[in-house]
Amino acid sequence: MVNDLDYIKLSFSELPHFTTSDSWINYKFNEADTSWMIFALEEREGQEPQWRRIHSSYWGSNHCMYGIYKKGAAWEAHMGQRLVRGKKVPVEKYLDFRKLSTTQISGLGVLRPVSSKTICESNQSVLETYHGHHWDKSDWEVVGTDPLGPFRIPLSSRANLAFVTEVDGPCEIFLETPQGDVAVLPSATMDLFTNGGV
Amino acid sequence: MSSEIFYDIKAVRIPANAVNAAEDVYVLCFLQGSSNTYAYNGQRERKWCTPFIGTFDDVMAHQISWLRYTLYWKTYGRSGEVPEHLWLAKIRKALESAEVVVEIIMDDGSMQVGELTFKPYRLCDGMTIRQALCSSMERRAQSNQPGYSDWDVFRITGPGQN
Repeated sequence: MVNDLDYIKLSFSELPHFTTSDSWINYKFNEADTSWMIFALEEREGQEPQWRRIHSSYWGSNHCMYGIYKKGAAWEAHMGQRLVRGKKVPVEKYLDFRKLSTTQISGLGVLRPVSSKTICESNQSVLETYHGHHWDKSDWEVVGTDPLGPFRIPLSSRANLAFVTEVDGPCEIFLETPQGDVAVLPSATMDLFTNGGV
Repeated sequence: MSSEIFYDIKAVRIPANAVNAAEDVYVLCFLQGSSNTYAYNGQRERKWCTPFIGTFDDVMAHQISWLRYTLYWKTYGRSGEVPEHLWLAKIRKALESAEVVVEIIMDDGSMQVGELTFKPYRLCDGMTIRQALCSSMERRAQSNQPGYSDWDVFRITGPGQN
């Protein structure tokens, strides 16, 4: 059973622009202007609450909301396995996230979006270079010894966001504190919800 | 580029004991057509079809998984993209107001439920209605992709098609 304590819709449009010589890469970087992710502050039995991405604007990622038969947050809400502040709601009501106003990364306070990304073996070639663009991995962190990841990638640049959204492979995205804690007490982030809570 | 336009949604409800199921089974029916396919009379093509057969929750699960597509709805001059919550509300309303099938008509090669006529075809050609339903549910139970659609089980005729 999951209990959603709150939601936040994050925009990436304020990430600094930069251009490359490849028009496709430029297009992917510019997608940050319209990309959004919805995070839920999820409470699971026996665990501290954590902010986890449950929906996003880009194709393929919507599996986490409703893209796979009998999986995802919307299905869990329909079956009563996912509550909203302790209450069971019809899935139509659960989808009220569309009313959320967006927050920029600078409005997140101490929290930062960080992904845990594993690369499919068939995509190993794009781990270094994609359309002639060399990924800057200076702020990536390799977790474990597998060359395909998981990688801990902060969504702090258009390049990192493009890598996470463009390259196939399992991906979870959290809002974390600078210390890397994914567990966040609701009371510590209440100031985020003065606008647009569901 | 074309998009799929949905003109009407109906559902019929099969009592659980008629098909040896644990719960009642629903046949979801759409009157739909492609935005760039036209009939001889110049009107956009509209056909009744069956996207899914299953229990109430199975149908809802299938339609929740459809929300990743943009859905269009057009009726009585009003048209446009349907928000996700409204699409699910339409599906729920169709399921909750589904016409119940009388068991006795299920051993024929076709059945009339309200204004719709069902006839097994393609995957289920030559079967009775009951056999087509049972065969569809058996395939789903044995499939490793239980969320697939049921387009090839019934040919449906009804009002609004051309």
